[in-house]
Amino acid sequence: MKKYFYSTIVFACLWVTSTAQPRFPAPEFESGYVVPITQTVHARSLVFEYLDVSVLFVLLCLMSWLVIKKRSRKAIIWTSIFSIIYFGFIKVGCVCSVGSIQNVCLSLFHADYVIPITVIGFFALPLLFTLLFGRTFCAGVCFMGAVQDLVNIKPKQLPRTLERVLSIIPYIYLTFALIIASTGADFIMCRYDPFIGFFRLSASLGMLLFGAGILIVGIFYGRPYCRFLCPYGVILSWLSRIAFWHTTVTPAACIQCKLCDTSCPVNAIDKPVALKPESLEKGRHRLLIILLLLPIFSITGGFITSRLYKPLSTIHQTVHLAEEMKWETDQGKKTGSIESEAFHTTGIPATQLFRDAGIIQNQFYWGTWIGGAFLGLMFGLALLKTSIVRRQTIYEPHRGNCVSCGRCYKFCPVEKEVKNRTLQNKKEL
Amino acid sequence: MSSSIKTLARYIAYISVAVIVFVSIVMIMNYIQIKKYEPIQGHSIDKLVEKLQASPDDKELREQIRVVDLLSRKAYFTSNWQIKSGGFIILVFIVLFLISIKIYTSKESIESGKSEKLDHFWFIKSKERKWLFISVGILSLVALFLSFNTRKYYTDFTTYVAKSEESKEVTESSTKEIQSTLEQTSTQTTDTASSTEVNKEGATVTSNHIPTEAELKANYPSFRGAFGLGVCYAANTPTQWDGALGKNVIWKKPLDLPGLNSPILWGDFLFIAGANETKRKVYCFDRLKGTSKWTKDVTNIPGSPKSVPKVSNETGFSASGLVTNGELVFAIFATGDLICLNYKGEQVWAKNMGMPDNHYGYSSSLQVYKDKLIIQYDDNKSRKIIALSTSTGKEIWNTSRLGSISWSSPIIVSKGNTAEIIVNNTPYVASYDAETGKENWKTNCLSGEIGPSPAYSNGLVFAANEYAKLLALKDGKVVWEGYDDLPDASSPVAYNDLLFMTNSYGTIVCMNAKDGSVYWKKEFDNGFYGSPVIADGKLYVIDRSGQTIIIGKATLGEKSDCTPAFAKGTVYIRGAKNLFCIGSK
Repeated sequence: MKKYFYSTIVFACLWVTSTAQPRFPAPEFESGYVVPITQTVHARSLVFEYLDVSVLFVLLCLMSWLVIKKRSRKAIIWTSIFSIIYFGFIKVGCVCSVGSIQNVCLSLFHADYVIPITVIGFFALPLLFTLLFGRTFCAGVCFMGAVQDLVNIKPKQLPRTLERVLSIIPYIYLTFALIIASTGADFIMCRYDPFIGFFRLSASLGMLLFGAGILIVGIFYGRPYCRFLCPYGVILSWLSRIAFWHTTVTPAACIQCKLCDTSCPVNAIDKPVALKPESLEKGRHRLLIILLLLPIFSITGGFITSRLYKPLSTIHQTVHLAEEMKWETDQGKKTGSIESEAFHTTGIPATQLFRDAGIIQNQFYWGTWIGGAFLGLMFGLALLKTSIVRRQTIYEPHRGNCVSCGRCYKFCPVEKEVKNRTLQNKKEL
Repeated sequence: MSSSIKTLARYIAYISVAVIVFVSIVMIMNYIQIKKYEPIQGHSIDKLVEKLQASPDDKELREQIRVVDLLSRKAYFTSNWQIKSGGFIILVFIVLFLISIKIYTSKESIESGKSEKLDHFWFIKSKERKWLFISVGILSLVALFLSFNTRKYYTDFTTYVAKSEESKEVTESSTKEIQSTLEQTSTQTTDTASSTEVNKEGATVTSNHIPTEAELKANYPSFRGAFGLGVCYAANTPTQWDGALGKNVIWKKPLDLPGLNSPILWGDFLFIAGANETKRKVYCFDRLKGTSKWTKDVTNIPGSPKSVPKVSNETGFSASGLVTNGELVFAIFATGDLICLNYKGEQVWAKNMGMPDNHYGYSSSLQVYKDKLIIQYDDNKSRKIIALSTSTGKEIWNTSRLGSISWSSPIIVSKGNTAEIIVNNTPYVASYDAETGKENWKTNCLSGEIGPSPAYSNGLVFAANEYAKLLALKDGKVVWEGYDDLPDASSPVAYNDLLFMTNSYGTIVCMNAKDGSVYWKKEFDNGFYGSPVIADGKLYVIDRSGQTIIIGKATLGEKSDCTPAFAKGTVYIRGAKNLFCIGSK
């Protein structure tokens, strides 16, 4: 019943905020101009920014302790609720660790962009904690993950194959988001953040529906955004695989009851696999072929993605405006758009704009080549993974996919037994 | 394969078949409809056109034909679009049907038992691999499809800029070559005779003819009259005419090439130019009778580019006004081709000024000062004011200017023996010594794409542009500023202490030139592209529909974006099709 209670609270809060009205409604312009949806929030004072980083650090420490040592699902839930309140409602979701990748990327490619130290903190702390303790950030410190975790009241599992196919999406999203951010065009992870509208009281209907859709899907299938969209999750997943300490399903010996496998809402439990030497031959030959094909996948990925550089580059305002100016030049008419009028008043020659657009397009061209090669490589590695088998005797969490939510703890009979024994020992003492 | 996925696949297959059948029926119906009735060649339009031929003045019928024609074309193209889109939809749903039917009919896999764990593992992995291939393959195909289909809609700006720069370099190098040839020719001919020169075509030219100020004012030698100031000194200019009805139209002549330059007049000669992508012509008419004196094809200009520049329809290839000094007439085109002709239509000299890198098309008009042909040659690469010898075409001075491209024309302010050339661009209004080309002053005050030329009266220079402001300057210093009803294509005109401005929104405003206060403002239905001219104490301006706003209205009967030219008792107007001479019949 508790899960229904928590979920009801979360939905009620999100519903109230999504239907709230700004205190002063935006004016209606006769020209038809529509006030754009706010993309950024007001800057917080430096003290509060440091406070935010401190809170993040404390929460990461607490969550890591709860996941690795305390193994308390209940405590994880309460920490998640705090995270939603603090990072979601109070801090209105900005800066968040997910979006901070874009700031870091922009700062790497644009010397004139100075990245705030607090943003670096939001970017680096979760990575560091993941490297040490696995994805404890995803467990509930990330307010987006926390929201999805709380609404997951009827967990069902997706077919593995479908899950494998959908898991390509975060790589694609990450690649394109970084290309776009590195050219200074836009921060699309922030623009298309499905939950931020609930916390900021301002989002387009489309984004609100998108967010609501994800939450509704999340009732049945655990954390759809984390698993099939989150670009930050890609990096966390890599680091989690080599984490020094990672949570386990059971605190003692696994009795192979399969309960954890059934209970995991994100399909992150690896089953035991018995190895037969003769069967391994099946994979070896395929493995070799895929290894040889890796460079080809990479080059093909680069080639295909680079074909999209022109339409993709129009996301950048300069290229978009240049297309508009070229249209005006070709047609001998003015588009009449605000951007066009503003450009004409600057007195900058159109050729200068075209030249700037050319430079940006060149950045997109190489960006899409590199990004596409990365995607091709990831595809090859994904295929490679399907040809590798390793001996496993117990049920254990997949280090990359497990979000350390702790749901499996309460299903594990060994966990219960250990807890009862500990309790008894305490009583005896 | 779980039964739920199979069920889903079955439903998808049903839906796909339904969509395919539905779209196919729609497409067949559409095809039959198009076959049966080809909208563009509809008989109803033929009948209406026949009716119109019987009664050509029936405006309602004309409008009806336009509506029917538009509807027919819309219907035709919509049908074509539907066929293409329908085909695409069918293809997509066929693929969907095949995939779903494949899933539905696939054999139930044998769930591995506990003893076959590894085989089951490989089975799962094999399935994952297959679907990874399929999904990534589909994504790649979609990406390739999008890239090839969107290629034509987007510009590669690196190539675009490189191409335009390349063509500019080629033109510049060929121009330099031609200039050196011309210099050699001029050295040879200077020795031959002081008063008379013979060019290679054998045309006789009186050299170094210097028109007096009185001569210039007595005629209409350039765009907006003498010195380009927009003031005409002819008397009894007509105020009533109707081009469509022929009222007061002394003659009208069609011109075979389009152009936006306005007629210029000297004595009985009327000059005008026209051009398209392939041809450039200068026309000369007897301004009294309307008979053609000669037409000169502007061809074989040394250094003329092989390909013409891209210009907007609203500018065209012959927007720049001609100029004459009473013995020679000069014309320049969007290709940078500059020609000097004598009054017999013989080429005296010609050169290419370098193809202008101008995204709308070159449109600055020419001016003459004494023995100098004044050219404002602004493009995206450089801004120059150039003086060429009227007799030889040799460069006398060439002054580079700061700022951006403009489409305005120079005006000349005569000050006894000296004169100032006033030009504007973004962001400067500047004055240059007409003799030496040295800059007298410049003021940083304008912005945007400058189309309107400056105006001058009683020591004040007036410059204005849309989205910028209106300024009155005295020796480069701002006297007053205005911000309303700014011109965009047409130029302001100043007369004594009055300043008039028109714009494409249809506003005419009259201001006190001394302090910028508005005397009156009137709005009209049609906008103004042509510039206003003061003639015989009246303000003349032609709106885009061809109505000339004077005190009353006079209709031309066809559209016009030009500025009228005046002679005693007559006014000359270039319409969209015809050149009109209007006076009292």
